[in-house]
Amino acid sequence: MSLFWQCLVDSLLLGGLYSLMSIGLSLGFGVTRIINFAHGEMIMFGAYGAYFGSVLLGVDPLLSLPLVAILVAVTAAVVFKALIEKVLDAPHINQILLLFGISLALQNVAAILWTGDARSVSTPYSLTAFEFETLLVPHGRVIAFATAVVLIVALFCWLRFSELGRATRAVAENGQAATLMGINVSRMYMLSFGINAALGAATGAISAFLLTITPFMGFHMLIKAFAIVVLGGLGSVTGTILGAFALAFAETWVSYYVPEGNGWAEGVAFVVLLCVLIIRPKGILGQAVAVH
Amino acid sequence: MTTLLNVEGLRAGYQDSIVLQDISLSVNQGEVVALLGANGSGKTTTMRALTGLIRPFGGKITFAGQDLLAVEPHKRVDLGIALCPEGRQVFPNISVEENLFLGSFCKRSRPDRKQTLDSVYSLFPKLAERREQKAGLMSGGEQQMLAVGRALMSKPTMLLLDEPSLGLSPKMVQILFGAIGQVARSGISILLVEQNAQAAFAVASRGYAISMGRVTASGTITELTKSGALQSSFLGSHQPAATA
Repeated sequence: MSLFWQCLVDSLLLGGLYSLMSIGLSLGFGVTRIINFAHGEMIMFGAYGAYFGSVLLGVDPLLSLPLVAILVAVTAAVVFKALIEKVLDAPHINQILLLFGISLALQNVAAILWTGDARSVSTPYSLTAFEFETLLVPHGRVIAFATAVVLIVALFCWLRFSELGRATRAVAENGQAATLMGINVSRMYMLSFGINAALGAATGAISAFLLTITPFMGFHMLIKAFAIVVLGGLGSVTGTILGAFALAFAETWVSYYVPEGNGWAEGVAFVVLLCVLIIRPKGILGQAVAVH
Repeated sequence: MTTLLNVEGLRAGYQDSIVLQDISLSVNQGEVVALLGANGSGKTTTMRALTGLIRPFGGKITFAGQDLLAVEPHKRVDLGIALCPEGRQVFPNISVEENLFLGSFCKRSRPDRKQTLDSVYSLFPKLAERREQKAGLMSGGEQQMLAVGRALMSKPTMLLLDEPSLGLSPKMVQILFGAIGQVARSGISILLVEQNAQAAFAVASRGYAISMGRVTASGTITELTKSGALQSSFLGSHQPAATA
């Protein structure tokens, strides 16, 4: 029975992190209709930002998170304006190739700058945990979960109640009609891409004290985030959160209950991706996105 | 009477197909002008060129003395020109009230949006009843009211209406054109695209008949109906129609 509760708690905590990891990707796609295949690198840069903040300046990753997120967001917005904006109307294959190209370039820039060495950030809460009888709840995971919840709630409030948040939803639903409202659609694209990047970088900053940091860490996070977004339904931010928890539960359950499950858990995302595409291509909450 | 909108020799289309060959028209302050013609004659393309959704190949558009083509599409609302587009184009998953607030996104109309909202609700009481509902869940007629209301939220001096009667029941057309008449009496200039000529005549004082991307006739509604220019414009007669 204790294994069951441990599994449940681990799934929930992981689900929070996965929600934050994929929600930016989902929002960015919903607005610009471009899948940011360089999303993993935004996570990676966020993680390095937090790492250097901690090692060089002695700043806790949670404190450097806002600054790191803003820096990555501004850089991403510049890249969007300079490169991605030019392929908005291009065929999807061109968009995918460009974003993958940016992703590869960024990975290798990071490898040149900071070598391929694996790094990690140690914080006072990295190795401690709450203990309830046999149940073990690491402090770091709880803090990561709480940070993710705060950021996601902030994002929802912004989308729901602010003028720009409302305009973002309008652009996601109908870009031409949004133009008729006086909304500068290309600026909203840039903004939502920047927010996508900021949320990625924030994910990286909190992964810094949970995971190993390398220049190539972003790729498998991208795959998972992509599987989550497809599972939840492309363009549905609420669906993404459902998808994140679904993947977190599936992975954790596999790693606990399947023999040699730790290795298999990493493959769950691919299985989920395949099953969704075959059984329900529009995902849990997705609206059918017809592309011609 | 001062001219509010003036279009001269407008040529426009999509990629390599030219839809508008030569469109010239004008709308005076406080006037309701109808743009009439059959399917594919270029009415909607004219509207899209006016709001900047497409970039014309040639010609001139001036609005309130300003060269409209030099103004970015999203900034044209700020000048006081608002389009209620063909097929309504409301934001389906956003509530009615938020759709209306989006209509007053531009800086000029944002400060007194509460008052404007009240006046839109009194023009279309149905929208007030449905304010919390998602726009996509309403009937076609209600969505059309919302689209008109949303355009009015920007406090335009000129309202462009693209086929407001499309797909509506006769009863709904009557209600809608009653409201459009009310808007016109409040002093807002209107350029109205319609296939339902009868409905258009109820509110418009002047009209242009267009066919194959050209203006084939223009004049007051009485002149247009008498000359038979409308029939030829709708039925696609190839004889040059007399300009009334």
